[in-house]
Amino acid sequence: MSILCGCGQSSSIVVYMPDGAPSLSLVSLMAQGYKIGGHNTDYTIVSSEQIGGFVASKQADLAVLPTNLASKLCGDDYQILSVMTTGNLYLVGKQGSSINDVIGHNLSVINLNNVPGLTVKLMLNELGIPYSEGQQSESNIKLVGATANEIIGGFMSGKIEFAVVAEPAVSMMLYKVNGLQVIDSIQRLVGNYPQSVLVIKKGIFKNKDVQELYNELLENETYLQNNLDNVYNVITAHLQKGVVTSFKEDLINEDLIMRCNVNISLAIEEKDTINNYISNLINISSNSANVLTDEVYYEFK
Amino acid sequence: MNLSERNLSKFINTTQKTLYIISSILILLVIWECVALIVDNEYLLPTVSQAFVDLWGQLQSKIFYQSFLYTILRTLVSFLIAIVLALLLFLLSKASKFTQTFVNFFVSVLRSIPTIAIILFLLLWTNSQVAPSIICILVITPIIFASLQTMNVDASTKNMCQIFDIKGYRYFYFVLLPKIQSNLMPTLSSSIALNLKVMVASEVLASTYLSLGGLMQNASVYFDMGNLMAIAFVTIITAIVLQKLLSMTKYIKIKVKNK
Repeated sequence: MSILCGCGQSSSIVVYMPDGAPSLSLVSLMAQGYKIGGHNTDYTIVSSEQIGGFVASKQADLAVLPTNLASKLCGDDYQILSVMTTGNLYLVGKQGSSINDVIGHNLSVINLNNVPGLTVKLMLNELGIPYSEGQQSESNIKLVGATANEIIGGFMSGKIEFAVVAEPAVSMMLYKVNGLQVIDSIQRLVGNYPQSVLVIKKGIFKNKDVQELYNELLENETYLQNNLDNVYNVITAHLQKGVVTSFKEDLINEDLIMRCNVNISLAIEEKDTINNYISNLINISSNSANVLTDEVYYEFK
Repeated sequence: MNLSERNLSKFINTTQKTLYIISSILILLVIWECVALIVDNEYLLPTVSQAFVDLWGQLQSKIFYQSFLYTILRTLVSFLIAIVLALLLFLLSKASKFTQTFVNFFVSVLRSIPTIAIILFLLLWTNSQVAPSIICILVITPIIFASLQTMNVDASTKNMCQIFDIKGYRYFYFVLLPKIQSNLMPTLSSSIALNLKVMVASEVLASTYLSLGGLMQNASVYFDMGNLMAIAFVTIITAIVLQKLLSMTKYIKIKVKNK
């Protein structure tokens, strides 16, 4: 349910976010039960497969979405307010010191068909490293899609040598697989990119309330640094029924938080970066995103 | 009724049946379009025209044809393996009372295994290309086995075989094989459609590269509902065609030569 702007009626505001790094970007708001515009606000963490549905069906008043999905769903009813995370992909393996060591081998990629896979392809294009999803040769990298469990099992059995994984799955794998190490950060190789954004439903929030919300979001980083031991409790308290979080309580530490790369900034100020990233994704897969117009970016008046 | 009257009657029946089928399809399309217009949200339900535009786009894509062919190939190979496995299990169950009990128990287990649990294991043991085929074999084998079990050799035939000392290979070739054909063929035509359905679902779970399931997963991940509907439409048509092709095998008579 949503509030009507300036009409005196009020109801709960609903905010949805996918489990994983994007949910960390709203931890401080969830912890304090921050009320947007003074209205009761429900924060719910859902599975990444479901998040798009809440925006497509217009149930969400605010939502954290992968940027490419936001490019498809924003426009008529939603605008992009802020960038929330700027990349959480890491190259892991038991041996090797750089991406060049992967040439001639298979590279398992979590979510090959979505942003992680597209970002890996973008990185390989920029580094001039040939890749394929079919034939593997000594001079290229063969990309293979895999889930986190498959990758863990693959490392344990020796079937997998290298993988690109997203945090918090990285921490889980480092914990479960002996000898596994982080070889490099995809963000270091390709630069930070706007991985997820906060979208806001049009015409229902006062400008002042959105400004206050954004200011509150900027405090999230400080909250994460000072309240590590409370992060897991906050996340589990806001999970949708039936959803299991990818965070493990014992593994939440400064390294994990750092690797999740929560970096909040105004989307309108990052417009060129976002548009450039979207354009790169479209070049790799034309269906993966839509070109954004200026009207999609929320602007404070 | 003379020959020309019979032919005319047959022609009228066939034409009537074709018109009924076309009308049914058109009614379903109209209902779909009406619901899509009411929902008015291309992400929840794309319109018929959007789905057909996307279908046309798929039909011009090399990846689509490669994915389609690989899925069909996997479906047919796993189907053949399921038939052979079911036949072997059936023959084993006839060997003795113990093997009958063992096979029945084994098939019950196969029938009850939750597919999703198995696919997670299979992805660890094999890969995303092979796992969907194994899932199909596990699902289809019990169905074919069950239809073979309903096959009965009547007492008089059994007596005759005893009198004329027809056993082993000759019993299988002259007695069982014709019965297998008549029992099995109806089941095969419905099972092939199920096999394709399970194959595509498994490919989605396994994110199989170059597969209809993989294309569906891509479309879903990118919220490309038009393409998702288009690929689902192709899968439905393919299942119907495979079903029809297999149902025509009832006209094939296995000729048994008297040696």
